[in-house]
Amino acid sequence: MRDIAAYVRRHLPRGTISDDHYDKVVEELTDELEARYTSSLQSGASEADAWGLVLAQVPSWSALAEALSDAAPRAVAKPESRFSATWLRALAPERWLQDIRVGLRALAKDRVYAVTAVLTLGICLGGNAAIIPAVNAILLNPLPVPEPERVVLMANQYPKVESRPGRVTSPPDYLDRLQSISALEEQALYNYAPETIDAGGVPTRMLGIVATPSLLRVLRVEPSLGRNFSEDEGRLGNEQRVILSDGLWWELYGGDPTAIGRTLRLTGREFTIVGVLPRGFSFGGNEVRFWIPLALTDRQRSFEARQSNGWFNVGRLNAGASIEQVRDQLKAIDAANLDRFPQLKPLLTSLGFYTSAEPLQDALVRNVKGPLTMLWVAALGVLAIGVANVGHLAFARSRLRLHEFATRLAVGAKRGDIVRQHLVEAWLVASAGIAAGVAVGVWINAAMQSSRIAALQNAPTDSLDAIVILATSGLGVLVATFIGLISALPVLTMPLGTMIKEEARGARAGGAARTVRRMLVVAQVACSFVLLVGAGLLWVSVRTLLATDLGFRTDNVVTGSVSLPRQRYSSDDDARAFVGRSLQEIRRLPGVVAAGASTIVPLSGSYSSGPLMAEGYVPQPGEPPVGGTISMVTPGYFEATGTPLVRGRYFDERDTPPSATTIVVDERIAQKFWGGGDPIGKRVARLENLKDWGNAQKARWFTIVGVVRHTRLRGIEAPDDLGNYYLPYSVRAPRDFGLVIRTAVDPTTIVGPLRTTLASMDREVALADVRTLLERTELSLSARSTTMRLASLFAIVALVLAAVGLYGVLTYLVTRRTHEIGIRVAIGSTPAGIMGLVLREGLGLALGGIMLGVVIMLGLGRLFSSYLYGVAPRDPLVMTLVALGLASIGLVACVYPARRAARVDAIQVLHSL
Amino acid sequence: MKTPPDEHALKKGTAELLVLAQLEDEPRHGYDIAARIEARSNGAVAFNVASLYPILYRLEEQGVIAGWWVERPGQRRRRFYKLTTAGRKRLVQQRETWSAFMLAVQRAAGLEYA
Repeated sequence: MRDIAAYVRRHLPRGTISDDHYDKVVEELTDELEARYTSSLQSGASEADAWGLVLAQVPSWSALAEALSDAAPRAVAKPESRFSATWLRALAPERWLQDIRVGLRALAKDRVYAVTAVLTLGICLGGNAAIIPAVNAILLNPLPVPEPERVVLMANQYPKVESRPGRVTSPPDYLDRLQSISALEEQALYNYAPETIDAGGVPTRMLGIVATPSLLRVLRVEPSLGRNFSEDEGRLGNEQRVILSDGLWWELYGGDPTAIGRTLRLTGREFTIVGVLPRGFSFGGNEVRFWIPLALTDRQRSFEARQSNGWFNVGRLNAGASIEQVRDQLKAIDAANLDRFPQLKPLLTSLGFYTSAEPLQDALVRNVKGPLTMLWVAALGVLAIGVANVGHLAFARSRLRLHEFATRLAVGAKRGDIVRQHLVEAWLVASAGIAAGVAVGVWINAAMQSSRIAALQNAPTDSLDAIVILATSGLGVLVATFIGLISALPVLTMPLGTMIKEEARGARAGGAARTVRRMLVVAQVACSFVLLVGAGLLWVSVRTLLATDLGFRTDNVVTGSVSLPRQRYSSDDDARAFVGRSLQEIRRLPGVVAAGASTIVPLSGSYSSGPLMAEGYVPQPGEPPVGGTISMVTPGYFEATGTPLVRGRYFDERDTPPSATTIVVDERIAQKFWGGGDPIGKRVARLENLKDWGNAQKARWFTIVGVVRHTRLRGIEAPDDLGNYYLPYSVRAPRDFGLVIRTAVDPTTIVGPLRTTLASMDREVALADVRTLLERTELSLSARSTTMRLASLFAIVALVLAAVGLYGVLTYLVTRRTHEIGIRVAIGSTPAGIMGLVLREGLGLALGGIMLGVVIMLGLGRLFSSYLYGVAPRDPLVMTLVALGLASIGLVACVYPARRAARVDAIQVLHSL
Repeated sequence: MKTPPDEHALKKGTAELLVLAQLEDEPRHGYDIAARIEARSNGAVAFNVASLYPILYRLEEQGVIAGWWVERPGQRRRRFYKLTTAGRKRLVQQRETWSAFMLAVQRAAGLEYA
């Protein structure tokens, strides 16, 4: 008797079978082989033949061992280094490569599907890719410094006269807080500082920040080269140092490290370069290109300076301190100050004064956060619609291949393999879609660069591309996995029998599946309705805003700002002389109708305001003082801006001497103080010295010579709570002012001559920020109009996708119902009747979607209202127009499937039953 | 008996059905299953050890059949297999599948109904 057990043990490789399982296998195989051997002998075979039979049972022992471990993976010993477990085998690279090859071939055969899917995904992912940099900069990472939530902005608030929260404060307030707020470990004061820098021979106006040396410490940022300012450099006499932004360093010095120590001329003064900021860091906006130290003058520290509220005070919370503690300490300071300066008490109380503290990053993005979130939701919505379409396509395609899957399963393929192939195919489509999406996103972003949304990004744009690619790829992979699984659904869930039956009869889609498909289309149509209405409302808002009467004329006016170097224009007379002469020269230029200068360039966003007292006017107790925005203007300003005159006269040569005591007010101030009466000749006083407020003797009085129409100098969307008043420029002769020039011809044609004129008078005086008033108007709305344009883009994409979805579903339904249609035709229905049937179905879906959209808009409309201007979210006109438009497009989408249905050959259908 | 190559794929596909069907009435051990298949198919289908055991183990892994050792005095212990509830369901499914498939193939290939 042969020792079959030994034979088995000798030949069966242990390979990957675990030890105790191996013994069992040996036992069982031995038993089987012995049984065959014995039975063979019993039926008369010779020993040799019987043994031959045994040998023939296992042609290959290694194959058997592999098959055994394949079949029972739990019995397999932990693999040492090879892929032996089934699941690890599934990860084996050869299978994935094969899947990729198979997938590419399948896609190449079905080019229509591939192209449609890639295009759809590309566009939808592109929309998201465009938004991602802004989302990152504004929603996720507005202040890219360590622990940004612990940086706090403190500001003076006057809620009784200002409708929006302020963000600024004064230097003496900062000094108070420096002493008394223990909850902050470090504080800083800063402001914006425009300077003229010689960039390659051209004097260019650039924006910088002037800040106490503590600011970099508050932000916890170190210069990448050189050092931060020392405390000493924050004192007068030592402050001519500068830190450059990385971009400026490269622009001026090509990244040369020996730039440290060299000097740079800023508006006529020499500054020593001490450091360079890290690449990718920017604070205060992308336009800030350099930092200089803030050295407070005695005047700025004085009591008087408490009214120059134009500075930013930030601080970093102490470890363990909370913002609540800061607010309590601020309250204490405010209370203490009211006692220190009792003469201010009535004024401040009537203004409702208090000091606020909020995280800086909240203040930075407050205005843009809303629209951006809305856009992001829209982008995701469009993506969802696109994914629904592609998913449906993939699913339908997969059902057409049921016979292929059935056969493969029948001959032993695993469902898992087929599902994996679906996933790989979906990922292939997604890779192309991601690439397309990133390209689309980058393109849209480039087009968006000029808007305020982009300007708010506290990071240069090239570093964002990595984030865009990563995020888009992430979205793409998620989407693809979803599509792959959806398309593999029949393979996963359907038993083999049903698969074959489906194919054999080729009809009868599951009722549930049909309903899901219909609901999906209705949802898509509803989504596009909401997006279209949203975009439409935004469009109306922008148009309304653009049409707002600002009070002055914006056509044919060019503006620019000028900064006279302090050193060479140290006396007011020098400044006055320059301004007078230059305006004279400018008026002589051909095409110039009127020219003037003002401390405030209209629509530039900057403004200055202060309270007025009127002679003989007694305010009610607790009534807040009448305030107004102050402009100091030369003669010619009103004519240049086209501000209409209501009473009296504009400024002229009589108002040019420094001793002028005339003033022009607007209708609001006139109305406030004198009702309907004539204010000409009456006197008002400005707040010159805080401590003299209320003291009529010490006030500086101005006589009203003219009343002009109220104008919205700050811009269309800026708060418009105050009136305007205008003082003659010569009263103070500020060195920084703006020029306003009205032309008879295209204003851009005189920019060149303008610069030449100024340069001929003083080479170091550069005209900066040159724009026409029309450009400024558009710029002030740029965030809104960009939002609107993007929203419109999304809405149109959503519309197209929904139409495609509708078309797809109808085609599919028609195909499925071919039998029914055939029967109808056979019993007498006309082609028109069939078409009507399909059209009704399609229109029904479209109308269902529209109604759902209407319900959604009615419900969620309130959320939109804060982004709109001059139009209600439930505006019936917009909704009706959109509904009609959508219905028409829906109708067009239904036409082709309807015609196909009408052409169904009844006889063919009956045959196939 | 060697199986010609064309029939190999078919055999692979029907293997499960064949094995499960033998366990319908009572539990059996491996050799018994193979013997019955050969007998009932009049020798047309024969499973050798290398073909049968991977199938048995796979079915056991999937919980479709359950195996246990039976000790008889004086004999080597022997492993028997029986159908589980899931196995009975699977058998019904497989029978359905194969009938439908064969019907479809017949139609498509123009075979006569045997």
